[in-house]
This record gives sequence, structure tokens and C-alpha cells, in this order.
Amino acid sequence: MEIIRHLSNEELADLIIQSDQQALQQTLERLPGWAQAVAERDDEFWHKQRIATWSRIASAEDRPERRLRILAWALAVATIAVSGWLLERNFVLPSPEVRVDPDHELLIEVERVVQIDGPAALEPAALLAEEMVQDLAVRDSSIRKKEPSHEN
Amino acid sequence: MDTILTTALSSPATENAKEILAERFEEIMRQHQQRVYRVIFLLVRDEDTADTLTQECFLRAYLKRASFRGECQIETWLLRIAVNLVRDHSKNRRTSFWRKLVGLDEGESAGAKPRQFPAPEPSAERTLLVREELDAVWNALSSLSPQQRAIFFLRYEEEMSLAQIAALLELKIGSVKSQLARATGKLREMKEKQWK
Repeated sequence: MEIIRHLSNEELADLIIQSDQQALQQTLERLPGWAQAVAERDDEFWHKQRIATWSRIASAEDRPERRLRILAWALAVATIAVSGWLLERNFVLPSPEVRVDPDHELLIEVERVVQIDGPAALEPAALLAEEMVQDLAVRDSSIRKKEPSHEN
Repeated sequence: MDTILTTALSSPATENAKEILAERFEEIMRQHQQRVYRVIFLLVRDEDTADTLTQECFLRAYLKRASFRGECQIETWLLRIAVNLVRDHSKNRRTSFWRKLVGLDEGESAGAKPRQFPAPEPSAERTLLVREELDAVWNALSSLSPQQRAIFFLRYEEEMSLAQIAALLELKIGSVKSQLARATGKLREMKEKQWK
């Protein structure tokens, strides 16, 4: 019985290459010579090429240094900007809290109640309360006027 | 010698070492620039592009010198960088084709004729014939991928072994063989048409 062995892809490629090499023998043999002839340049060309390569190497090596310098400057500017902003934020004075005087509030409340539906008998008391409110207001304003002088 | 160069290239600690490094690298450039240029030139078929990519190749080699561990020869490493650069260049050209097509890029038109090898300085009759022959080979291979062309030129122009090509392109030998078979097949097709 005849055994037919199948060629592997690699073996098949080998056969094709061998056969093509035989058919193209002349061309393939001349190829190295042709390539050398066509890529032949004078010494000046090679010298110029080396100089150009060195100049490209020099500029490529300089690039990371320049990048670092730019990065350092950018960081410095960013730090100054952020610290300036933070300082500005801290200097803004908080709005003074309104101090509430419970006595004063009580008097106002009493006056309001008296004025709304207070009986006639309480009219003197209402007048008294009004006077007290005015008095307090006057005293309060005089205290406020004095306060800046204390600060000074 | 490679090990000495490798050590010098990977450890520029002092100013003196930097000088040594520069000297060594200059030596490496002198030794390999012609071959690197030739391979790139055959793949891109343009003198200026080949010159620029050769410079780029040595620039990358210099900047990535620390990654060279001496597992292969310096030349293999340099050619690997060169072939990768050509591949990237081809990709960029393809994107620039679409950019030109949609009018984003100015320059040569999309349907421009394939470039020909420029006339070398000594314009003798022989070099003219050589150019024509190489143009014919290149045109036959123009429908192949940059990698297939690279494999073809590395095998027959640089006369590298399949194992060396596989190491250079970081491929399996089987893959190199199948791509080479495709390239030789294309060239044979073209030759047979010529003979008919």
C-alpha cells in the first residue's frame, strides 16, 4: 500500500523557495551588487549624515532637561497662585454676628401685644413700655458709637 | 568586541564615560551606517527618506542603548530598528494618502506614479541598467507588504540566513519562509511575463 505523506506548510514553502531561486538565479545573484551600486554614496555624504545624527542626538538629550525646567516653572507659578488665593480667602473678615438682647426682645414683644389688643387700663403701662424701649434704643446707639473708640 | 561596546554604551556614569560613549557610538555609526542606509533605501526607494530614517535609526539606538543586552549582534539590533522605522514610515504614508484624498494634506497627488530609484552620482551606462533592473524587481514586489519586501531584500540583497531574518524581525522561521515564498513567487511571475 502506498503511503502518501502530506507536506507541512514549512516544507511546501521550502520547495517553492528552492524552485523560485532556481528560476530567478541570475537576478538573485546580481541583487547584492545592484543594491550596493545604487546605494553607493561618497564619504562626504556619510560624514554629513553622522553630523546630522549627532545634532539630533544633542537636541533629543536636551529635550528632557527643557521639559523639567518648564515643569519647575509651572509648579512655582501654580504654588504662588494657590497660596495667594488661600491668603486672600483667610483675610476676608467674617460678618459680625447680630447680638440679641433678650430683655429688649421681651419689651418689644410686650409692646406688640399691648398695642394689638391691650385693654384701656393698660395704656399707662404701654406708655411706660414705649418709654423704656426708646430709652434702651438711645442707650444702645450710644454704646455703638463708643465701641470704635475702644478698638482704637 | 560587542560586549565591550555594550558595556560602554550602557553605563555612561562620568564625563569621561560620556566621551568614551560618544567615541564608541561614532565608531558604531561608521561601521554600520552604510548597511543600515542601504537596507532602508531599498525598502523606501527614496534617497532623502532613507537618509532621514538612517539618522532616526541611530538616534533611537543611542537613546535606547540601555535596552541593548547583547543578546544579538549590534548590527542585527540596528537593522531591527531600521526595519521597524520603515514599517512605521509606510503606515504614516498610508494615512497621509487618505489625508490627501480628503484634502487634509497638500503635496503629491494620490494617484502619483511609483517613485523610481534616483540616479546615483556616477551616471554610467552600467548604473542605469542596474537601476532599471532594481526598479523592475521593486515594481514586482510593490504589491507585497513592507515586511515581505524586507524579508526578500534581507535574504537576497543582504544575504542573511533565514534564522538571522527571523531573529531580526522577531518572527518564527516558518513565517519567514512562507513570506519569502510569496515574494519570490511574485518576482517569478513578473519575470515569466517579461519572457513571454
